[in-house]
Amino acid sequence: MSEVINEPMKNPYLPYKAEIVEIRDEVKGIRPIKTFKIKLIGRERFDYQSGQGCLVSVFGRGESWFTIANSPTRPDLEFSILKTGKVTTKLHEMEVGDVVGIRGPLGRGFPLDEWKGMNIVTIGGGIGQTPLRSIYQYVIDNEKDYGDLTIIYGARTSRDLCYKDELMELIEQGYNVELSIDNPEPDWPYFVGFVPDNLKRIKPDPKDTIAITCGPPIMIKITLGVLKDLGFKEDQIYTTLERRMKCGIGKCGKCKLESVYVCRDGPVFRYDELSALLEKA
Amino acid sequence: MKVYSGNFLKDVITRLLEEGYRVYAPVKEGNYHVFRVVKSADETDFDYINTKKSPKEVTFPENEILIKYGEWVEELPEQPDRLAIVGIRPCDVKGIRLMDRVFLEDITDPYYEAKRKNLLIIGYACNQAGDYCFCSSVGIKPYSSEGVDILVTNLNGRQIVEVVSDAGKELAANFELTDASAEDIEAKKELEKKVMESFTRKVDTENLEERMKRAFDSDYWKEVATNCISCGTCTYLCPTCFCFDIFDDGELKGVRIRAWDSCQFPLHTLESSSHNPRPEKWQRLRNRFYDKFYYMLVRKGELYCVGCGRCSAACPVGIDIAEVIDNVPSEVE
Repeated sequence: MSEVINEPMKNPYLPYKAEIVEIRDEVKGIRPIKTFKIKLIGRERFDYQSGQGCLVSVFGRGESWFTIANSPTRPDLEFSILKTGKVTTKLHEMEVGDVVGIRGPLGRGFPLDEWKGMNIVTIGGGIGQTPLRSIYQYVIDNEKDYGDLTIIYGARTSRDLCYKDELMELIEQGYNVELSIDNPEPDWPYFVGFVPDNLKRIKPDPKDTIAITCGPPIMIKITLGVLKDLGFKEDQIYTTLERRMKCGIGKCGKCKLESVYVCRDGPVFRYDELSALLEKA
Repeated sequence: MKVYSGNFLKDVITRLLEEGYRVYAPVKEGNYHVFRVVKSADETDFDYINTKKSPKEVTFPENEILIKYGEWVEELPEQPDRLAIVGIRPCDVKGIRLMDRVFLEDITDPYYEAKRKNLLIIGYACNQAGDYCFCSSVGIKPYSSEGVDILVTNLNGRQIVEVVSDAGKELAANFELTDASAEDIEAKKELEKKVMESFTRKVDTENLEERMKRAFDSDYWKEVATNCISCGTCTYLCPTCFCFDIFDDGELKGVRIRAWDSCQFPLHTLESSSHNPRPEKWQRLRNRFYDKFYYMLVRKGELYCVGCGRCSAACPVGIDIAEVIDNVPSEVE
């Protein structure tokens, strides 16, 4: 009898051992979101691209895919996790020092190298801000390589906004951050309305600009229409897709969209790639 | 081409068992045949057109432990050193070759690879097409020796042995084989012609990629799906259906398992946000036909159907893959 290789680099189903080093509450209430900072145990963090994901593993519960929420220019790995199923409920019960498994980096990230010299507009809704946060952190950390940065982000209520402290700090530092909430709230100084409406109001210039959108499917759909009305071509627009994922390496077929494996060929797609498929995302 | 005077298939099983192989071979159960791990050649029965279930489980088990865990990874499962499948039909050999492309190309799946690289394949040529067979329509010859180590053909009660690979040569060296006569060679050619003529089903694959492309939004798929009960029998029996689920069994100590899954099940794609990309039965049915006859063709350049007809034979509501593909509308309203 022989053994399957006991080495995460060579057996892609085997997670790296990792430790939770920090937990931050992003959103409280019945649909809570926490950001977990995770450090690999006994080895350096792997290199990755913004937009790539990891399967976070809790033995006894399973694995779930999360996009990496921080830029590769920042330390460790961060994941912002909505409590919604078996794995995420367990993660929300965990504390600093607890051990989890990490498989990654998985999939194709954003082509940030290709975007050098361009203006960057991120358009996010709710927890869909996660991959966009990795992008804007990266762009801020490599400011001289990029043009203007515009961060458009909204949620249902002010309590549902993720990364609030970080975004407030960016506003104070003079970054162009455009926040919105769906309905009026007392003392809310920013836009009230849906994210695509805020985008319509801001009207980013499509010239030399890349727009990246991520959020609930309906928001993405309407945002796409607004971007086209503003003159953005499909090859200037990127998104990341969410699908049920299990293997994370393009084998198990769960995330398959038409002939494409979202976990392997994505989750980042340029819009013209998606509109060329028979099956719509 | 060689001739063996005894029953080569059975004798080869005996030899392989002596050498310590884990041998999969056809066993008769009730009124059908199925590949099982056998302990003796006496258990086997080679009087079949094909087995009810495909032999994909040899390299891709229905349930497979990936990791044994406690607080952390404790152990990985041992893999068999020597595996053999005896009596596999050419369509199913093609099935294994198509599975290879899924599991071995791009990122290698080490669990599949461990079994596949140690697998000896003793093929068995068909003398007669089954009621639902249409492999000849998807580019497979029912007497093909492609991908096997040794191919056996039953010729008027005698066994013709074609040694194909080095591993096959090594194994064949243990048997007394005589050269086939010119008459034998001629008779085998006749038999090949006869089997090609025995197909009652043909599928028109002419211009199929284009036809599939145009028919994607057709109501045809809703019509085909009318009686479908999403049972997944088709995907379960299919030699090229590779979808699987991964789950943990045991809260504090247990096993991480992968198990066959089916794109016909609504839970297959259901996301935790409650969004489901294929909520409707007809979308899931369409997905199966498109995956085999379009998506994989785009991705791998090959049809992912080997024409074994198992899904048609077993479908409880009579959905027939050959008929469905043959009738894909070329003009869409």
